[in-house]
Amino acid sequence: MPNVSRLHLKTGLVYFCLGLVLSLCRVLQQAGLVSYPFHLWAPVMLHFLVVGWITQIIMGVSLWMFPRHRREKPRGYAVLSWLGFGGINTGLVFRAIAEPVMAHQALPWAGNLLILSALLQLVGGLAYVLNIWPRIKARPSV
Amino acid sequence: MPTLSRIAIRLSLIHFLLAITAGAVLLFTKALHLSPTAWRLLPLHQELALAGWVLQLIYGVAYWILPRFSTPPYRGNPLPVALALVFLNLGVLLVAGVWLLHWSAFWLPAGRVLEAGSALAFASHAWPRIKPYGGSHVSPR
Repeated sequence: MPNVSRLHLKTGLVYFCLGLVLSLCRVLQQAGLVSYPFHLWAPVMLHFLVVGWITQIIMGVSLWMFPRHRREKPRGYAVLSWLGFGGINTGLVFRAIAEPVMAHQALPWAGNLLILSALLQLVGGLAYVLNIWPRIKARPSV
Repeated sequence: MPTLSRIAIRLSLIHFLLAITAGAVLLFTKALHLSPTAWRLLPLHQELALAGWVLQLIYGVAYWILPRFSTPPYRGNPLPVALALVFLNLGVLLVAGVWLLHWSAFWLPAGRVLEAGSALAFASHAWPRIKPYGGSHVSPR
């Protein structure tokens, strides 16, 4: 398994756990057992599960198992793989910092971080698609 | 990788790009307090991410890698998978039309019915292929 896939899968597992912990915290808040407003983290929790966990596992496994690109570059362009990993994860972390702050109070730095988060995730997603697209083919290259 | 898988996976990647673009617009809207009408993209963003991206990718990869039969057609009848893809994409398109283009609300349940039909069609294909590798099951025609 290539390094970038291992990192995708392990980071995905971390997001999976964090998503479930945030979900539990929200339930505890709804039950009145904690006073912290975890409902402000609801979009972050959903994106930890759908982007951080599901999408990231898809990215890691597809980069590992899809038919190889070419003999000399079996898994496509490493720079695109790492851009995909870096963009999605940095974007998600920036979102997790900025979004609860923005929900509480619209601070300019949090707004800028949210914009940066959107751009990073967009670039990461595009890099992944560009890298995996040529590997969707009938047979592995010889 | 069979043709139907290639079609499904490529379509799912297009849905993924559309979903993250819609998501980026929503984050921009939140950060810059842009027009609230942009929030109409939220249900579309969810539909593209869950049905168009994740579900369609699962269809494509499952059709490719589930255990094959010992007699042709080795992957079973491809028709239910083709129908599943058509139903899913039509369903997402109808739901998108309602949220984005203000199509009649009638199309929303129609889109959901198509998505449910897609799930049934895919399940009918995948069910007999969920078996041990190397089993002697004969392909259902």
